[in-house]
Amino acid sequence: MATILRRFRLALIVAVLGLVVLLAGVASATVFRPADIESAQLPETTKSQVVITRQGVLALYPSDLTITVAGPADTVLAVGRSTDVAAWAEGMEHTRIDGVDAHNRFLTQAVKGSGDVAVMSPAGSDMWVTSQVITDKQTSLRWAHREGQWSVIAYSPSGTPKVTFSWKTGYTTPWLWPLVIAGAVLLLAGGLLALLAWRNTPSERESLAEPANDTVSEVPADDDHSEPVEADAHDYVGAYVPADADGTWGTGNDAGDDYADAQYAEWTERDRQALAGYSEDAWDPEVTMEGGEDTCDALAYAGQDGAVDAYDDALGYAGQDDQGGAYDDADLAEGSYEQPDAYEVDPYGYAPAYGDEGDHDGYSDESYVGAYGDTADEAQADPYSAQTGYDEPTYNEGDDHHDALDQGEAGTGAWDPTWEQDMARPQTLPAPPGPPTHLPTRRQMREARKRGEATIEIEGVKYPTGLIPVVREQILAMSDTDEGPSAADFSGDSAFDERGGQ
Amino acid sequence: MSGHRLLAAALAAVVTLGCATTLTGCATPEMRATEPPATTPYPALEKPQVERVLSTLAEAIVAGDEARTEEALQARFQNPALAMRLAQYRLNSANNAISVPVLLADPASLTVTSSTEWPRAIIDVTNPPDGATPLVLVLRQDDARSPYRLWQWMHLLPGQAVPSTAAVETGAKMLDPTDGDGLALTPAAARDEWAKAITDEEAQKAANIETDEFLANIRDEQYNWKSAIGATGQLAYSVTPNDDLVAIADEEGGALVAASYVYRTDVAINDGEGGIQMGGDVGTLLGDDGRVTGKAHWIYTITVFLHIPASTDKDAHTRVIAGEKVLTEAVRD
Repeated sequence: MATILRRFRLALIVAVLGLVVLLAGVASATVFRPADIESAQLPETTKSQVVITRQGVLALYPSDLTITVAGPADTVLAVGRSTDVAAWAEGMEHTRIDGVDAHNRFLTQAVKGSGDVAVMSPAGSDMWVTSQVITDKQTSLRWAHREGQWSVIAYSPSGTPKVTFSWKTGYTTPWLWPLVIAGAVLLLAGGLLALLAWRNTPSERESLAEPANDTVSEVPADDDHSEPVEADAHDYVGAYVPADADGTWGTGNDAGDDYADAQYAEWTERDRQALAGYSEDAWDPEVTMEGGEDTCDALAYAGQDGAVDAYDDALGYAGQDDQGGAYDDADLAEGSYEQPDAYEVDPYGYAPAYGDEGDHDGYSDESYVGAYGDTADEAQADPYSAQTGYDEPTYNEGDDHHDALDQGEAGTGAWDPTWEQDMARPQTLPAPPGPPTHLPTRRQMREARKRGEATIEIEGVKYPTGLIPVVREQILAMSDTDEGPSAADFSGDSAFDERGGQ
Repeated sequence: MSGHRLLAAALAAVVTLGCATTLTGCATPEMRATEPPATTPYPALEKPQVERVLSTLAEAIVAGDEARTEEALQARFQNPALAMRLAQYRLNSANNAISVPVLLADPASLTVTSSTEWPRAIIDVTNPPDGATPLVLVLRQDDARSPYRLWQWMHLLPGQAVPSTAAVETGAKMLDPTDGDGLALTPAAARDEWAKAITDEEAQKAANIETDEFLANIRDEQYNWKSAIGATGQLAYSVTPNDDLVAIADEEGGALVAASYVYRTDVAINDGEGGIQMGGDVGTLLGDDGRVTGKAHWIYTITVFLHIPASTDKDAHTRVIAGEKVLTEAVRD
């Protein structure tokens, strides 16, 4: 869940912002909208039967005012000239509206009658421009501004006429549509960003196919090694093909497989046991290795073409300094390779591998430089020269292994078809030197894959890490230089994207 | 910006927005009208109001014609018009030959007075059908609580036309009776001089009052009666103006004055004489064949519509352009 959030972080932020803006727009027009219509009313203390407005009061309000009066039947509501209204009410007891206060209550002035004028209904007067008489509870009229001074007069036969002014406040909702549109646009943008983020992930996942660590090709602990081997959960493209039909570890190359099988078969029981010491479940589940790590993958490769040779060579190198060309003399000279004071005899009787820094972490020494070296560039440049590096004809022939690999003779990174032919040739092999003192642990393999290395070299032996190879030429095509692309060229669904750590 | 800060900023924006829109609606100041009452004159009525008044007047006329009672008329008639109309009904009742003139209110031309004071008037020059004589109706509102009532009506004298007056939308200025500014005579003076002119020709000349038909008619009548009575009795008459008048300015700088008079004739039969017999409306009203053997008097109510020319108009004369004379009283003393 956390990773999903992280992945869609930007999209979520934009979408939430869009939603907030949209809701704000809607709120500005609904919840926060000021009242559309306001009204002013008489205070409760008004007593007169006749209520008039002073000259100028009507002009205080916007045009299109609605004047309402409520009262019993025969209540009169009329509008006339202010002078006319005032003269009509003169001498009569009445209430005069002078203005309105901040709470929309009329400011009134009660005017006493002169005593000789009786209160009467203004209904019959010729002076009013508009006049209405209540027949049913209330009546109203609309008043628009016009030239001159006008006043309202209201009369109730009993009690006080309840005069109310209502007018539109003219508040608009200018924020509504801009905010709604902006919010919708942001939501859309958030959706687009989410879509882009989602699209990025699947191929990325595919490109970094992690092998299921739990399913491992099991190597049955019997001599002929002919029992079927379960295929790995992830197919290793190229050299790493699950077991072929005959049940042996296979590279998809039957000839090579057979050869490897033959080699394997020659191993002595002693060797096998020694190897078993490196793995907890490949050979003998009960035998645990230091660190308890499962090196069965490595061992699986041990049976493959060339891997046997690699083992052979590794075993041959155990305890020795620079046999073969695995180790550059220059490296030794630099002192980057640390020769252990004494060969640390490990419990299983094998001297540490060259370049082992003594920490037994399974990583080869920095001094190891080769086609399968730790540098990313080299690995990218030539990830699968490991394949041919596996085939050890160069080892056996005593060539400078390192040089051969450096020159990239080992291959272009693609599965070298000539390799098969090479392997088909009968080769003279020395006696299996014994199990390698150091096989790559699962962690090493994993980390090598993360670094983008297709092979990992330990003690001069290259083990495939299980990485899907990228063809060198394709990589070169993507870059401008012959040296190959830089990490920046890779993004998205590439073996060397950010997940790969390049 | 992290997600949290972004959200907080957005919420702050929303709250601010909400507050702003709410608060702009909250402020309602106290408002009070404080100006003193306006003194600008305004037309007393608007056209729809005038038409409403005239239609109710027409209804009252119809009702009165039917009922011939004061109650039927008093909503829209006031003296002198009320008395005149009732007298006409009385005469007609006594003598069918004396017809009640038709009163119509359909306006051909309307004028209302423009002022901030009372009384106020409507002058309606009617549009009579079929070549009948046009009427000039003057309706008057005496005070704010009174309705507009027919105060005077006059038949237009032959060959006369009412000078153009202001339209209803503007209103004609109501003149003060003693205000003769720009006029040949003040309205009050014109009223008085006309009355004098009936008996005093020199005064008439001095006032530059034209002998209009009405004036001539009165003189003739008196002459005829005097002649008829001869040595049998004494005849005296007087034309006394009423105080009440309505004067409005016309569009040509002159004035139109509506005034009324009491035109009383006293007759006294000499001792030893047999008596006289009055005919016409006087005899009708007197009754008893109009025989007068002692003293009697009769009163005509005269309503006139005078036109006073502008003082600059030297050729024009003050004259009556419309008038009405109705016998309102005839009594043996």
